[in-house]
This record gives sequence, structure tokens and C-alpha cells, in this order.
Amino acid sequence: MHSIRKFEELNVGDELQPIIKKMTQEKINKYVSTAEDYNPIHVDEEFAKKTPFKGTIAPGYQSMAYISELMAREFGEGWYFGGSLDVRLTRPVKPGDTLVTRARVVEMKVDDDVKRLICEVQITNQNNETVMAGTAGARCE
Amino acid sequence: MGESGRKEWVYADIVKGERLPDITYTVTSEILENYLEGIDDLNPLYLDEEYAKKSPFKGRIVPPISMAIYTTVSSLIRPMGLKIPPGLVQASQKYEFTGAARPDEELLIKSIVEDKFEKKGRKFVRLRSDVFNQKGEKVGTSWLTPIWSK
Repeated sequence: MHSIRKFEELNVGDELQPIIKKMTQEKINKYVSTAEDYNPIHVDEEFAKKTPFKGTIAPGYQSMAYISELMAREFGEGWYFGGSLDVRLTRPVKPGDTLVTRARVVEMKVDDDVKRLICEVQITNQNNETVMAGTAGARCE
Repeated sequence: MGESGRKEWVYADIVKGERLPDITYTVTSEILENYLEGIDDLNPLYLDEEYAKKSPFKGRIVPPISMAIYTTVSSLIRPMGLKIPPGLVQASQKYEFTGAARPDEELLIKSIVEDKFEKKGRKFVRLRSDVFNQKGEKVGTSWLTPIWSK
């Protein structure tokens, strides 16, 4: 298991280890099956072909989970109790896309003995296009 | 009621400060398994009870970001017999995580229209949803700010 990062070992500007994932239609189908929110744009290829996307796209919330995975891996309890995420979806994710999730420390502070840091987060596809961007914060030991 | 039988929740009908109906949901072990396969995350904290028992959480938890699938605008207004108008675009989404939720635990969502405003000719609505576990502890909050199409 990846060890939880300590405040003292981090600096502003540090890049955290990226996560690389491939989006597939099978993963989209699994994800969509957990939500009651059925939208054919995610699962119905014939329907989706007639939309401006020309095919199915993944729910935006699905790739957002990659940022959560990265922050949980790095900060453990400090993510589950004290994490924050603020993101914008900038481009659709399609089956077959390879996505790289990155985080870079941009702010570190101590308030009332609570250590916190803020990361700029970004997900890019295989064409180096940003599909999601924003910030994520966590408590840090 | 099917989606086609629902009235659209248009900007003019939305009232700042309006509370939406409470919603409950449960991330069952089966749902959790599908969810984790969908996001390709094999963290043993979510899957392995023996591992999780030795963690500070003393048992399995569900990924905090899973609240996102239950706090969509469509999910929040479905109990009102309403649906979102076509063309609604998510401008931003924000989450805070403050506690742990367990698999098979019934969670409660309490939501409110926190704000509605127009900016540069676009109509924005900010919806806040607080999620509570069975102990009444807040496990997280979601803020969605879509741009309303009509």
C-alpha cells in the first residue's frame, strides 16, 4: 500500500503520483447501473450516435472519482474527514479514452494546529486535452 | 412516474431558500461492488472487512465521492414529480467530506436551493445537499451549480 503523505515531507509545487485509467463502455455500464439516473447518452450507442457527441460518453461524476482515489491514496483519513473537491467538467470522456489524473500542491497552511493543503487537480485524455480541472483539499498529518 | 410525465423545473419556478424533499439511499454491498468496478478502484478499505477493521475506520466504508450519484439535480427533484429542462449544463460541482458512511447503511440527503442568480445573461442555481449517516452525523455536503437552460 502507498504510505500516507506527511505535511512536513511536502512542498508547494510538488506533483503527486498520477493515476492512469482507461475508460471503457463496460465500466460506464457498471457505473450507470448504480445510479437511478438513467440517461441514454451514456449507454445507448444508437441514441448517442445522433447527438453532437457522436457516441456514448461517460458520466462526469465517474472520472471525478479518480481524483478522490488519488487524494485518498495520498492523505487517507485526512481526505475522508476533511477533504474538499471543487471541479469543472471541460470536455466529455468517451469509451477508449486513456485518462491521466494529476494533482499538484499549490497551498499549505496551518490553522489552529490543523494542517491542510490544497492541490490543483486535472484530468487529461490521450490527446492531452483537459476533461476536468479544479482544486482538491485535504487535512494532512 | 416516467420522465415524460414530469413537469420541467424551470428557472422562474425556483425559489431561493426552498427546501427540497428529503431523500434516503443505501449503498448496498452489491451497488458498491458495481460502483467500484465502474471507477476501477480496488481500495481494500471499501472491499476487505478484515483489512478495514484494522484501519482507523474500524470497518468498511463507502467512497465519499459516491454521494455524487445520489445528489444529482435529477435525483433531488424526482420526488417533486419534476425533471430538469433539456440543455442544463453543470457549471461547477463542489464537495466536502466530513465523515464515514458504511455499506448497507441508510443515508439521508437534505437539500436546499441556496442561491439563484443571473450573470452575463446566464441563469445559475446553486443547490446544497447535506448527507447524514444513521447516527445523524454529517458525512458530506455537495454543492451543484448548473446553468439553467430555461
